[in-house]
Amino acid sequence: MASSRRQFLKSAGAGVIAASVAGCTSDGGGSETTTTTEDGNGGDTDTTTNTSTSGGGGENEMIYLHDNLIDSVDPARHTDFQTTVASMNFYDQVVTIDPETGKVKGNLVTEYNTKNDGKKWNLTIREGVPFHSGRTMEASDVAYSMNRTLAVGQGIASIWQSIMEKGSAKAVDGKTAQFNTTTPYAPLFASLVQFMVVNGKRVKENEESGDYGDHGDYGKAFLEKHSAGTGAYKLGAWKSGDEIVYEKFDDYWQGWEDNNFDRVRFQLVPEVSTVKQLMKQGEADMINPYHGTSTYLELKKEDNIVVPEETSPRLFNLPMNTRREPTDDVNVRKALAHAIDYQTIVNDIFKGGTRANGPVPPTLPGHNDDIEPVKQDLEKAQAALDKSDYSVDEINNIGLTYDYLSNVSTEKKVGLLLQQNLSELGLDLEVKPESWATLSGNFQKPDTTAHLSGIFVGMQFPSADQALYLAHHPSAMGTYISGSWFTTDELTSILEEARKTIDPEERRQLYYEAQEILADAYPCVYLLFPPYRMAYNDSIGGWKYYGISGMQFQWRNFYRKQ
Amino acid sequence: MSSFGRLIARRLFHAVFVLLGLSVLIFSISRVIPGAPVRLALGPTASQEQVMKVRREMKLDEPIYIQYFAWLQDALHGDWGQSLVTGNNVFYDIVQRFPATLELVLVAMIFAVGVGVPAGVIAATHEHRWQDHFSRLSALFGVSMPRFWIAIVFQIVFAGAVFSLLPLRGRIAGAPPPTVTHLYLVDSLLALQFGTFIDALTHIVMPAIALGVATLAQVMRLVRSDMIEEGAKNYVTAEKAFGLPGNLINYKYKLKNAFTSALTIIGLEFGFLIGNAFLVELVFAWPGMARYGVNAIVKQDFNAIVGVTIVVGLAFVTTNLVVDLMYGYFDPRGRIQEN
Repeated sequence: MASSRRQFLKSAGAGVIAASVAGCTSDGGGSETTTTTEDGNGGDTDTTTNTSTSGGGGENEMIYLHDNLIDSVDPARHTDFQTTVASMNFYDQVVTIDPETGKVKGNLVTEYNTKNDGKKWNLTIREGVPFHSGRTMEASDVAYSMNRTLAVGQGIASIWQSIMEKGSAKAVDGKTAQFNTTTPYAPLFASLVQFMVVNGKRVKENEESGDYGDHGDYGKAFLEKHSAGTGAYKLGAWKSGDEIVYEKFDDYWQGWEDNNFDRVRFQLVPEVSTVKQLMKQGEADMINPYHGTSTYLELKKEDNIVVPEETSPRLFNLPMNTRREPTDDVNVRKALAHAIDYQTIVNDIFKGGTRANGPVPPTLPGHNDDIEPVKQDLEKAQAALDKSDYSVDEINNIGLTYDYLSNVSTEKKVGLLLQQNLSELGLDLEVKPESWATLSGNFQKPDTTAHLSGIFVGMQFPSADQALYLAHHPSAMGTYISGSWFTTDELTSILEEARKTIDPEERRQLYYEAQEILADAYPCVYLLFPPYRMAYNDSIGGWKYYGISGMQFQWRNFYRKQ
Repeated sequence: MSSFGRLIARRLFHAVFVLLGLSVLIFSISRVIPGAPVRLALGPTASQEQVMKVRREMKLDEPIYIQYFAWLQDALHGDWGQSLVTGNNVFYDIVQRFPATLELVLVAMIFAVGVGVPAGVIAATHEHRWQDHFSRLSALFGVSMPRFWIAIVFQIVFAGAVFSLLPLRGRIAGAPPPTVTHLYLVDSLLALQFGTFIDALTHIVMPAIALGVATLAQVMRLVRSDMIEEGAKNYVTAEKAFGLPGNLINYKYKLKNAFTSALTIIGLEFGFLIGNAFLVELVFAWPGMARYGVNAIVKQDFNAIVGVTIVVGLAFVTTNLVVDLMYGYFDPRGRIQEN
């Protein structure tokens, strides 16, 4: 009995091995993934897409690596760089940025005009733009998309929620969409680089029950896992928590070059050592710009990797809490600002970058070139400290704190350098790493906001309003951008006036004034605009720098060099 | 009801209270730790109005006991609350991700037990010889080296600079097999897709071994020491005197008696790995629940924190029940006591 049992087990094992070998040598073996695409009549059509691949970046496909969970590509819900990149290749924006000039130009919209002192905006849409379903875009889709964004009220909607009422967007006729604001908002056109258009008819057909009255859930469930845009790519497959596959939309309105990618794989790889290996081995083609400086410098040494470097509009600064002792004293803030070794920060910590003289990037209209960046000057620092209402002992008894994000090494290094610099004035500084959740919580109140914080501030659209309003208007207090808690009646009045001023030159003058107020008040230490770096395989062509969060990663721009 | 049935009923009864207690504890902790999770989820440009709206929708302004009972009522109907990060129902998120972690842990445990037990037996039967010394050194290595370090070294050696044999990341390169169990290895075999099976196997090999090495070391050393202890007993001497083959004595008689301590460790490790596989999942970009759980902690996604903790607790309760049942097999005295 025991022998026959052994015989049986041996035979069974041999059978499994034989079957496995037979399976390995058979053709294919992968199943096909069913994806739902849209047919010309707006209904669902099941197509099958074989998503098995011979290797990373093979065939005519590109592999892009990102490091954060993405669970929705709904264009009304994108909040950050990753979700913007994920959604903007399915959906076109109404305006875009010219990479050559950095200026905003029409995309799905060809013309605009504004009336009623900047409260009525008429947008003429581009004709003949097809959705993935085949249906042609109309002005009603633009109006629906804006009303949807306002109603859903998440992510990017915050740009427009305070100035547009829900349901206020409308289609004047088939070619003209109208946005109505409650108050004049001069940066509206620039802000529309974040506004993407959905196929209104398609989404309406797929609305489920929800919180938005007649519109149910406004298609939120549907758009989480389906694409309904005009973008260059359609949703090919979605492996939750792993990969999104973009498939080329053949009828894209801007057309195609011969060697554009048929497919792009958007893969989640959170661990930087794995990212580096994949890039070095050529198993990935491109990575995002949010890894550490050392990662890009290491990859730059590889023969098969290109690391472009551009001037970034993303500011690294140290907001100083103006509502907490002792940084409520402008002379203390001035002393801290003049004590810092800026050159070491630029040259050794960030390995490059442009010194900042205020919150507005030098690449934007409205940047005040007349203001000199603050320089390290210990004599000036000491003189300011001597004039302040606090003695060194009093400041040390209160205890200065510097909070930074625990997983960002550059912020830590800046903190340690700051600690050393301030010690030359006899000042102690506690350098505290915090999680992002705790840091965000601390910024909600002046009492819990640290005296100094290491903060990166990016631009969602190219307007000086973004850099100034979100940092210093009373309505924007309580976020990491407004960590200085600095507002004055005069500054508030200027910022509100600038928003209403349609004439660009007049608006620019107001922004100059605002920056002069900030230069005198020292609410932040404006350190630098660090270099923008990312990395891609040298077989990839088509890299263009747009300056604004995520816009570089439009897959249609890229191709594999022959 | 048989003793077996009574045992299961009693364990399930206790499990309900354990899980309830766990849910109260983790629910409270996740909601009282400082932070601004809603603001974090909506982004810095979100207006205070948006933040307050979401807080109201999630009942975050209610007293904590009201929040808990509302959550419990919904959870019993499959609604584990909305994730602040993904926007999905947490139950849906976990269902999507748990099979990947379960498969990884199962393969890691199969590796740890499948290699660790025979290695422990060999070390015991060759006490103080090179096999024993080798097992001691490898066990030391296995428990000392962090799992994520082993994972990175594996990547460099087997998927990179030295050999390019195995894939660096992910769970599968091609399309997944038709879903039955959500375990790719099992589903591909059920569908007779052997190419897919090999694809999934090559992807799971490195992460599973990296995850299982420390467990293997513990199992190996426990089996070794218990086997040596058993070897000194009279029944073994009697069996040898009767001329029974060595392998029969070792694997059928001694191992059965020596296995109970290792079984305890295996049970504990299984539950531990379900919740702690995240570093390996991170290195290999494995789309599992552990990584989702850590991300939830970092972003204070409290519904997800509670959901993942409950699942990990359930894993511990289940494995403890299975271990208790298996004790009855390995030690008949346990079965008699139950009767």
